[in-house]
Amino acid sequence: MITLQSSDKDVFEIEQSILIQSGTIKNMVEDDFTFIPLPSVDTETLIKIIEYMKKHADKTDSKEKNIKEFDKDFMKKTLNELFALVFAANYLHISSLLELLYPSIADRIKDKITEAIRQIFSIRCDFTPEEERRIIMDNKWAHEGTEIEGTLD
Amino acid sequence: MKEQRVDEVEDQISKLPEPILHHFMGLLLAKDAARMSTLSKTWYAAWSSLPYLNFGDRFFYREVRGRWILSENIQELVHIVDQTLANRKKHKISVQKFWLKVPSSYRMSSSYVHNWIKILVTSNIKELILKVGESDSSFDSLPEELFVAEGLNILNLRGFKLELPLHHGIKFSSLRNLRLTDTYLDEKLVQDLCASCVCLEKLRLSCCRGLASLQIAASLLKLKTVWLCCLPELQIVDIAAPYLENVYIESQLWNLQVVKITCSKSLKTLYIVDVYVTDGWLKDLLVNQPKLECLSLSGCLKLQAIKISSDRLKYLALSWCLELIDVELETPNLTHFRCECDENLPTLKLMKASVFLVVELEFSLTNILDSHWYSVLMKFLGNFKQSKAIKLDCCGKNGIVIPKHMRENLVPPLYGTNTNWHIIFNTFGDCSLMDILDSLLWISPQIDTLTFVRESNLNSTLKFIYEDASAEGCLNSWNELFDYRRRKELHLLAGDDEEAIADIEKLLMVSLLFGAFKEV
Repeated sequence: MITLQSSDKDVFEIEQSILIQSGTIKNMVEDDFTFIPLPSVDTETLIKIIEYMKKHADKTDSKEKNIKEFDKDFMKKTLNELFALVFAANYLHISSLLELLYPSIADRIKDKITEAIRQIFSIRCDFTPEEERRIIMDNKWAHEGTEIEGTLD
Repeated sequence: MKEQRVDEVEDQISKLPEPILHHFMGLLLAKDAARMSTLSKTWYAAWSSLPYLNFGDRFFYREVRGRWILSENIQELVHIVDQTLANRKKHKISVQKFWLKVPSSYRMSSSYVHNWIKILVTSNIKELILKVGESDSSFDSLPEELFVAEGLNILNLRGFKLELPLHHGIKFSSLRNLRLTDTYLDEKLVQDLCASCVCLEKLRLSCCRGLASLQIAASLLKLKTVWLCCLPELQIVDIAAPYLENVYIESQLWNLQVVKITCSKSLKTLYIVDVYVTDGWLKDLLVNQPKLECLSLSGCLKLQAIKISSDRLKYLALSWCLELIDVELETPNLTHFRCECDENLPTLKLMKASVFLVVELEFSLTNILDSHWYSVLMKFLGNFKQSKAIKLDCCGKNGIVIPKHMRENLVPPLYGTNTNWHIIFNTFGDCSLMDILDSLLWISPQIDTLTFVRESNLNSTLKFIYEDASAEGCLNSWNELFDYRRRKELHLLAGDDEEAIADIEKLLMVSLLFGAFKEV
C-alpha cells in the first residue's frame, strides 16, 4: 500500500498495483518510497485521479466496454475541473488520461469564434488594440467564415 | 480554495505548459488553432511555435449548396501554407505533423506539394498525411526527397504514385505506420519498403494498383497488423512477417487466388472477405494459429465444412459463405457468434460455448419457406440453449414466423431456457409484429427479455416474469404451457415504440408495467 498526500494535506492509501499507471509514482515506488506528497494536486482532483486509475487498473476484456462508458462519463466535467486534471495528469505522467483529456477540451474550442473562446476560458487579452489588429490581419484566412454563434459552456 | 471559485473564473488554460497547449491545438484544424493567436500573448506564442499543422481535408475546398468544390483562390491558399511553414523555419520550429488534402496536379501545380514535402523532410517530420482531392485514375508524383524522411513515424498517402528513388534508397527507418490508398506501387518498391521499414507495425493498402503479387517479407519483425483492401490486380498474397497479430484481407471480386499466411503462431484476428479459401486451407490455418481469438469469414464461397476446436476463439462470424453445409464448434470461450446467410442454413453443432454467448443472426430470405426450412431453423436455434442472447435481423421476411399448422411437428428449441431476444424488425416486411411475437413465444416459452428495434430506431425492451420459476410441468398440452395469461407480469424496461407496445398489450392481454426493473 502506498500513501498519497494531497496539497490540502489529505491522505489516501492505495494499492501499488493501481498507482503504477502514474509514471511519476511508479518511479518513486521503485525508489522504495511508500509515502508520496503531491503538493501540486488538491484533494478534489486527487480523488478523481484515483477514481480513474482504479477503473483502469483492471483491463480485462469484459471490462473494456465498462471502461469506455466510464471514460465518457468521466469527461463530463466543468472546464476548470478538466484543467485541474490536465495539470495533475501531466505532473503524474498518466498518459492515458491525458490522451482522453486533450480531445475533450479541444472539442470545446473547435469552430468557435474568438470571442466565444475568450469567454469560455476566461482569457484576458493582453494585446494593445493595434497589436490585435495586426495579428488578425496576419491570420486573416483563419478568421474567415466563422459565423457560428459562440456558445458558453 | 472555495472562495476563489465563487468570486472569479480564472484563466486556467493559459497557465498550462506550452507542450500541453500544443497538444490541444494540434487536435484542431490549423484554421482554429491560428484563430487562437489573437486571444493573448501566450496563445500567440503557442500558435507560432505549434509544430502540428492540420490543414485538413477542406483547406482548398469550399462548400457550395451542399457540395464541396475547389476554391477559386488557390494561389492565396498556397501562399498561406508557404507562410506558415516559412514562419516556423525562421523561428527554428520543426514541424512534426502535417496533414493536408491537395487538389490534383492538373488543377494545382505539383511543384507546390513537392516543395512542401522537401521543407517537411528537412524539418524532420514525424507524421505526414497527404491526400489528393479528386479521385480518378491518375496518380500524382512525389519528390524523391520524401524517401529520406528518416524521422517519419506515420505516413498516410492517397492518390500518388510511389516510384523507386533513383539516387538513394528508401530510408524510412523509423516508420511505424504506413497507409496507402489509391496509390500506384510495384513489387520492387514493396520489396524495398519491406527491407527498409524495420520498425513497421501497421501496414494498410487500399485500392492500390500495380501489384499482381504482394510479398510481406519476414524481415518485418515488428509488423503486427496488415490490412489489404480491394487491390484490383492482386492475385497472390504471401504474408511471412513472423509476429503478425491482425490480418484483414478483402479481395476485389474474388480476384485473389492465393493467400499464404506463414506467421509463427501469433495470429489473433483474421478477417477474410471474398476469397476462395478452401476447407483444407482453413483447417491448416487453424492448426498453425492456435492463438486465434477473432475469425471472420465472408463470401468464402468454397467453404463447405468448418470444424473449429479452440480454447481461445472468442468471436466467430460467418457471412455469405453460400456453400457452407456443416459447422462444428467446440469453443468454450466463444462469446460472440454471427451468422449471415440465405435459405441454405448450414447445420450447426455447437458442442461448447461460453454462457455469455451472444448470437447474431441475419437471414436474407427470398424464396417461399417450407417445413424443411423451419425444421432446420429449429435445430439451428436449439444450439443456443445455454446462450445469453440472440439477436435476429428479420430482413422483412417471415423467416421466424412459424405457421401454426407446422408447429405440431416441431419441438420448441428453446424450451426451458431463459433467453434474451433482440429483434430488428423491418417494418416493410410481409409479417406483423404480432406474428413475430407469437412465434417467438412458441419457440422460446420461458423468454426472459425481448427487445424490439424497428427500422426507424424505435426501441422497446420487455421483461417477462413468471408465476413459477421453473416452468417444468406436464407436457400434455402445449396450449396450457403457452397460455399467455400464466405470465404473471410483463415489465417494460425501456421503450419509445408506442405502436409496438400497443400491439403487444393486445396480443398478450396484459398491461405493461413501466420501468419497474433496472435495465439488465
